[in-house]
Amino acid sequence: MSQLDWVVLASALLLMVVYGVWRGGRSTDTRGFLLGGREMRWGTVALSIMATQASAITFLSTPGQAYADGMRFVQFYLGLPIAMIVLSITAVPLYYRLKIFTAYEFLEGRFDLKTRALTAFLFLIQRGLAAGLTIFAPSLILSVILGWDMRVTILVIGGLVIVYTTSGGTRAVSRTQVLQAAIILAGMGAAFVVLLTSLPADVSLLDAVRVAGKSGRLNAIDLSFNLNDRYTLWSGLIGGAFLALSYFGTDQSQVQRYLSGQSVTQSRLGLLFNGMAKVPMQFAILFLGAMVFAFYQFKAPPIFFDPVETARVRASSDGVRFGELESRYGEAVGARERRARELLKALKSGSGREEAQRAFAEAGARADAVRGEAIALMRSGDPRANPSDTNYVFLSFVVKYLPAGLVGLVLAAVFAASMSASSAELNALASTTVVDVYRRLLRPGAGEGHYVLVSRLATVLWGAFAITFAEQAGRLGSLVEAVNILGSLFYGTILGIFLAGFYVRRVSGTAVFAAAIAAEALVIGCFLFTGVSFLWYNVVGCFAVIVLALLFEPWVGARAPHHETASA
Amino acid sequence: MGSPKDGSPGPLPEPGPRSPDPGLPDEPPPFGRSWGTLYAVVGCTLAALIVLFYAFTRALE
Repeated sequence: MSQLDWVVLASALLLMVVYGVWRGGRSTDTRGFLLGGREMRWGTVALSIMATQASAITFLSTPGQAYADGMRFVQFYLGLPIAMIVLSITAVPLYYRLKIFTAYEFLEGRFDLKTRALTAFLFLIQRGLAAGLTIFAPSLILSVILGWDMRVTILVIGGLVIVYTTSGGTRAVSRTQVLQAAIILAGMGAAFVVLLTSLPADVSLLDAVRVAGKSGRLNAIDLSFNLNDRYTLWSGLIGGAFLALSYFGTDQSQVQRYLSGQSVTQSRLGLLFNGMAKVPMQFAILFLGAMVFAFYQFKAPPIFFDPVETARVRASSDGVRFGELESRYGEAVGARERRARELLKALKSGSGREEAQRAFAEAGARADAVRGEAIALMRSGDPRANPSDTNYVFLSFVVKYLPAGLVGLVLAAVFAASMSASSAELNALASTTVVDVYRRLLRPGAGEGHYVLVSRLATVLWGAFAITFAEQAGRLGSLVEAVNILGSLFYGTILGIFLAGFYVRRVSGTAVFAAAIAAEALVIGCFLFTGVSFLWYNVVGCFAVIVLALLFEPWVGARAPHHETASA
Repeated sequence: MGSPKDGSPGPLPEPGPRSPDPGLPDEPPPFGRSWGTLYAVVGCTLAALIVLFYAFTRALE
């Protein structure tokens, strides 16, 4: 990194922290600290919702996902707009009518205290671990690029987030997310422009698109129906809608964002804008990854994008063999480049397309085979070595090909994304800890000042927990998938509890409580013992809670008092 | 201190089951004729994106 990159990165980090502390103000009551005084307009709510979901993992791992597996990951988001509509109709007006601070408060009114406590507990486990992953991702970048110690990097990132989130609470989180969204847009836009201008002079954008398409990297929609296939139109629309309903409707890190809106109208508009913008945004990020793939068909990529693992195997007793594989890989990608140019020529002339396409595919397969040998060699020397380099693909491109200044800007964007998501997570974890646990179960009746102080303390403690988990998160493969798999283990059950509360009048708290425990065991069983794709866990967990609660209800007998439903 | 309904929030309410505020008005959206119209716009945008992505996939595979 050049000095200019350092200046850009340091300035952006300082700006975010100072801006967060300044705009957060100094809340003296819990509504100010936990709900931002309910003063946000829909634009801020929308950006806050989007910035909370799109962490650094989104911008680092998603392009790598497209590089390795194509654009079919976009289908994961297709259920999101449906969820935004459903939540605008049901959850938003209900939460406003109940005047709640956290989503879990609703469950006590509808069911009982133990169901509220169980759901809050599931949220705290899941979101606490996810907050660790959110801090881990940018720390990974700095440790790889700059050789910083991973622990120090995690501490620096986590520490910056803790400073302004503890200082200004929800208001600081939401206001800073607007600034962070602008930095992210600038950084990713700059990377895309440089990528296009870095293509060889004789390769146009359309040529790059053609090569990516012929390599299966523009496979945005898959109509097949296969429960074991992670990303299809159906798993995205159905499983993705359930996941989004659970995430946006019951995860406090998102509920808190739209509860900070001035009114039901402002919150609804924020959610609907997210429903319109999220899918195109993810498509653009994946397209960037597909274009990085096309770029590396004309410029030689490294045999493995993780420089730390590469350096380790080079220095080991397998170094000579690895060097030979690198030479063979260089020759194979050279041949692939020639085949790519021949393919473009054939596509333009219209003659010999099939042969050119077959030759290009065979050249690509030969290069992939050599790369596979190198990964196998790496793993034979160190079985703990991570065989996935998806997270390093985009990063590697940025560092090698972006000019001075823009590297710092892209890194600032990655930091902004990570800080925006993790600050919302810490804010929500603190809210749930104080409102659903401390205030409800441990110390009711204390003063406002006391609860604000405990909220700040909870923010610091959850930040420390996230930092500790982040230090152990290095071996989870593709980060974006790790986060979504982790969420899917819990979200279906949580959503089932909420849907039972919204729509199923015939079930009581005890039946739902028992059903939720059984459903969670079922989901974990699916994860451990079946090959069912993780998006379906959300459907399984949700339906299991509702069906089992209806089955258990006659056994547990008495009904809990009914307070409110979405249709009321 | 007022209620969230008038935008001037008060302190953390008492713990325990919360009774709903029945007087919250369902305001029309500031643009578009109704909330139903806005929901239809979001749904149609999703449908259009799926068709577009499918055409994109088929044209370039």
